[in-house]
Amino acid sequence: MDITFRSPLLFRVGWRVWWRDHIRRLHPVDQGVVALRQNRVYVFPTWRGFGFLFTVALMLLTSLNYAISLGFIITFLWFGVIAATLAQTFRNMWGLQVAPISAGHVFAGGQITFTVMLESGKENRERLILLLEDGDAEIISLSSGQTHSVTLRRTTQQRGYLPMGRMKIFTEAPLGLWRAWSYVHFPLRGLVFPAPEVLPPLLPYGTDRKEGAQSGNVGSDDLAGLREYQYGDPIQRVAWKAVARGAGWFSKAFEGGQGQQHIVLDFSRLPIAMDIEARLSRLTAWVLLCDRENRPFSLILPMASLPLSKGIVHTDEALTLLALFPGYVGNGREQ
Amino acid sequence: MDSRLTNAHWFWLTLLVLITQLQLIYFIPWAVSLFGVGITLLRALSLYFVAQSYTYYEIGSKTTERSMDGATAKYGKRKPPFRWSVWLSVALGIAAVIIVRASYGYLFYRDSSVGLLFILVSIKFSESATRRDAMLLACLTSFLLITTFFYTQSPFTLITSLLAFFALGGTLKSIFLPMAPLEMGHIRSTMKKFAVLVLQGIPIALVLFVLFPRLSAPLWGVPHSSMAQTGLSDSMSPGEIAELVVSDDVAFRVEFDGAPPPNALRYWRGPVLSMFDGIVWRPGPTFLPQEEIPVSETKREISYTVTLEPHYRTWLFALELPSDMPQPQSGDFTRRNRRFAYKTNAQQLLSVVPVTQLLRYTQRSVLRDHYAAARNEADFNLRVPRNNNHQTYTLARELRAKSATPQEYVNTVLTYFRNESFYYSLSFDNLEMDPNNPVDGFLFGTRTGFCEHYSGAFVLLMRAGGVPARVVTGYQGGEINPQGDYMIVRQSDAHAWTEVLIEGQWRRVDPTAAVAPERIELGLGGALPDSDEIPGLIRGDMNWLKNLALRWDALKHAWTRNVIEFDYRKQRNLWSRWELGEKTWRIIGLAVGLAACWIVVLLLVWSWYAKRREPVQAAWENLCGKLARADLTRQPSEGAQTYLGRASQRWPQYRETFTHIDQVYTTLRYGRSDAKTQRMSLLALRRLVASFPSVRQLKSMSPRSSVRR
Repeated sequence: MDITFRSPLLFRVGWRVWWRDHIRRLHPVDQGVVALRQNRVYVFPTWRGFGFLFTVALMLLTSLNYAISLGFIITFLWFGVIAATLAQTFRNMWGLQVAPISAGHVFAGGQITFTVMLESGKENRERLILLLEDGDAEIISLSSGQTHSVTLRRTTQQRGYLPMGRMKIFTEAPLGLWRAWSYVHFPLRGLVFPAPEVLPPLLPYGTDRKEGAQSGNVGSDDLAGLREYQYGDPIQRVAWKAVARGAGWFSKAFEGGQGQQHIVLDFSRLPIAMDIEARLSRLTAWVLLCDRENRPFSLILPMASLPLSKGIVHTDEALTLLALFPGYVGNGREQ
Repeated sequence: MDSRLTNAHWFWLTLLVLITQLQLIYFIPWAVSLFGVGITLLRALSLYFVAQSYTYYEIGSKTTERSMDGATAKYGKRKPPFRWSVWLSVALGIAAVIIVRASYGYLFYRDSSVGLLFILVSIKFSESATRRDAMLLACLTSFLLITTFFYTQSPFTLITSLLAFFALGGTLKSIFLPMAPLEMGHIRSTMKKFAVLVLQGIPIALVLFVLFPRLSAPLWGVPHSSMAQTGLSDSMSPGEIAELVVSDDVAFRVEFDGAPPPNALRYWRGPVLSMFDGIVWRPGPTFLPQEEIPVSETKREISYTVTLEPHYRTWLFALELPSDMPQPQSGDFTRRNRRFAYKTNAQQLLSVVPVTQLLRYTQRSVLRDHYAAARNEADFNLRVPRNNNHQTYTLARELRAKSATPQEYVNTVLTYFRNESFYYSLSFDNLEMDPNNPVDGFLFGTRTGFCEHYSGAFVLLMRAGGVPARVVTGYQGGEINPQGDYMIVRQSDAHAWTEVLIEGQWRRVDPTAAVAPERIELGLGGALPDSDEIPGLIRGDMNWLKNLALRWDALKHAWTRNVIEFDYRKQRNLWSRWELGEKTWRIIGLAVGLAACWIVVLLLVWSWYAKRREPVQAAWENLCGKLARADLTRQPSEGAQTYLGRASQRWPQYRETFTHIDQVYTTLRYGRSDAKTQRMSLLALRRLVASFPSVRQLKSMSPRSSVRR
C-alpha cells in the first residue's frame, strides 16, 4: 500500500519527513555503482554561508546608499567569489562514483559497519563527508583517479536485519559557504544478532534427556567450585549447603567430562518468566560459549531447529536463526 | 561540534583584523584608533606568547575543569595566566562608547558608528574562542573594510583592500577546516586556490558593477559628517575660493527648459556677505523681505531644474535674480506638505534644513543685474573697519574726489583695476601679503589675486567712498554636457562678485571682469595663465621620480573618472549607449542571467575537462585496445590481473612485462602515493605499454613460436 505522507509544510519535522519521502520517491533504491550527477546533487547555503551573504548584502546596501564605487567593487567581487564557490562545491560532488561493498554483522548494541567504495574520477575531492542516519560521520579527501573504500558505522539496538538506510554524502568545500549533498540508498543490509546475556547461567548439559535423568546426573563431574547464582540456573546445581549457612546463593560449577554430552539449547525449556528477547539473549550467550569452548550443540526454536554440530558455519547459522526469530523479523526500521 | 580555534585560525584572523584596522586609523580620531589597535595588538601578542609557552588548553571545557583538580594540575597543563570573561567585554564596550563619544562629540552618526565598529572588532577579536566567533568576527571585519571607503577611494586603498580581501578568503578557508595546519605550504596553496576562485568571480563582479542599478538618491539620510563639507563656506577670506576652484567636484547640475543663457549671464547667486572685520567677510543680518519685490519683466523669465549635490548648508543656488520660490522635486519635501525654502532681503534662497542629500528643485529667474533694495540696507553696507587697510581708504578718498556721482565712482575704480598692472591668477602668494592689512597688501603689494581679492577690495573701496556695497559669492559659468543636454556647475566655477546700491537699486558689478574679462566670457580655464595649469607638480628636470608621480597622478585620475565616479548618471548614460532600456528590473534580470550563464560556462568547461581521459586509464585502454586487435579482448568483468594473466599465457615472452604493468597499474589506480611518484609511475607505465611490438607482430607470435625458439 502506497501511503505518502503529506504534512503541512509549517512544521519543521513534518517538512523533513516530507523531504525524506520525496527523496525516497525520486531515488528509491540504487543498484550497483551510482554516479552522482546533477539530478541528485543538491546545493544550499550553509548557516555560515547565510551569515556571510547577509554581510555582503549589508555591504551592498551601504555602498548603494553612500554611492561608494570601491565598496561596489569589493562587494561584487565577493558576489563573484560566492558564485564561483557555489560552482566549485557542486563540482566537488559531481561525477563522484559510489559503489556498495559489504555489510557487517554485530550483536545488538554494537556498531554495525557498512563499507562503500568511492571513486573520485577526474576531479580532486576535498573533504567529502559520508553520513548514515544515526551513525557517525566519515570524512575523506580523494585525489583524482583514486579509489577508496569507506567504512561507515551505525549503532544498533534491535536484532534482525538492519538495512544500511539512506546514506548522505555532503561537502562544504572549498570555503564552507555552500553545502552540496546527495542521497544514496544501497540495498545493503547487515545482520544484528541478539545481544548476548552478560553473565549467562551455565550451559544446560543434557537437557535432551528425560526429565528424570537430568536431576540425577548433574553432579557426576568434578566440582570446580562455586559461582554466584544466576537467575535460571538449574535448581539441582544450587549449593544448598551454602544457602543454608546463609552465605548467599551459589551454584555449583563443574569441569571436564562433559565432552560427550549433548548440549541442547532449547527455547521452550527456559524459565517461563523470561520474555522472548531475554530467552534469545541467553541462547545467544550459550551459542557463543559453546563456540568458544568448541562444543557441539543443537538449537531448538519453536519454528526451527538445528541439529547437533559445531564449527563456525554452525554457529553462524544458529546466530542467524536467533537474530531472525521467529523467521523473518523486520525490525521496523526499514528506511 | 564547534571546535576551538587553532594557531592557523589565529594567524588569518590577526592578519585580517590588522590590515583592516591599519587602513582606517588615518581617518578616525587618534584615541579611538589607539584603543582599538591596542586591544588587537595586546591580544595578538598574548596569543603569540601563549602559543609558545603553553600546550593548548581548552578553557571552559568540563573534562579539563575536572582534571584540573586532580593530579594533572600538578604535572600537566598549567592554567593560562589570564582568562577572558564576559564582564571584561562589557567593560571594554562601555569604555569604547565613552571614548567614541568623547572623540567625536556625538554617538549616533555615521562616523562615530565607524569608530564604534572599529573598537567592537577589536573586542570581538579578543574574546573569540570558537569557530562561530571567528565567523562573526570575519563578517564584522569585512563590513568594517567597507567603511574605509567613506573616507578614501584611492588606488592605494584598492590595493590594501585587496590584501584584506585575500586575508578574509584565507580566514574563511581556515574556519572551514577545523584543524587547519599553520605552515607556509598550506598558506600558499590556500591563497592559490582562493586566487582561482577570485579569477572565476571577476566576470560576475564586472557584470554586476556595470549593470547593478545605482540609486539616484540615498535610501536614508546621509547624516552630518565633518569630512563631507565641500563647496562655498559662509565666510570669505583671501585665498579661500582659490582653494575651492582646484576641485573638480560637481556643485550642482542644471537642466534648462529652454536655451541656456550665455556664459556671461550665468551668475548663480549664493551667500551674500556684508560684514567685514578687516580680514574676513561674513554674512550680515538677514531678514525676510517686507514685501515681495514685483518682477515686471516676465518676458525674460527662464525656468530650470537644479540638482544640488549635498553640501550640508542651507543655501540654494539660483540664477540672478530668482523671481519665484524653488519647487522641490525630490527628497522628503515632495511628500510632506511643509515649508521648503525662503528668500531673504538679499535675494538669497535658503533651505529650511541643511541639504544633506541630492536635492532637485525647479526654479524661475529673471536675468537682471539690478533689483530694488529693501529699506534701511544702506547704513549697514557702508560700515568699514577703521583699524587697518589705511592705504586703501586713502586711495578711496582720492578716487572718490575725482568722480561726481556714485556711478562714476564705480567706473573710476574699475578703470583703476583695468589700467594699473593687476593680474588675475591662482598663483598669488598669501604669505607675501601683510596678514593684518590684506587689502592694502593686495592693492599696493602683490597686485595678483583671485576673484575674492578683487571683490573684497572693490567693496571696501566703495564703502570707503560712501557707496553702499556688498560681496556676493556663488558660482559663475557652467559647462554644457552635450551628452546629457544639461549644465554642470563645478566647484571650480566658484566665484565672488559684488553689488552696489545706487539710487535705491542693487546693481551687480563684477570687478574680476575688469581685470580678466575672459573669466566671465570663457570660464576659469581661459582666464588663468598657462603656468597655473599644473600647480602641484615641481617644475624642473624630468627625472624618474617626477615621471612616476605623473604616472601615478594619471592612474589616479583615470581611476577616479572611470571607476569612482561611476554613479547613477554615468551608469544610465552607459545603458542608453548600449540601448539596454530604462527598466531597472529588466537590467537586474540581465545581470543575474549573465552571472548564471558564467557559472554554467564554468561547469561546462569543467565537465569537458573531466571527460578527457585520465592519463592512467588512457594508457591502460591503449594497451587493452592493442591486445584486443591482436585477438585478445578483455571481458567487461575481467580485472587487470586476470586479463594480463591471460595475456602472458598467450605471449609468454612478455610475461615479465605483463606482471610489471599489472603492478604499476594497480598501484597507480588503487594505491596512495605522492605526486612525484605518481608521475614517475605513469611514465613507466607508458613506456611499458609502448614497448610492445605492432599488432601484426603480436598476432604472428604464438605461444608455440616461443617454444620453437
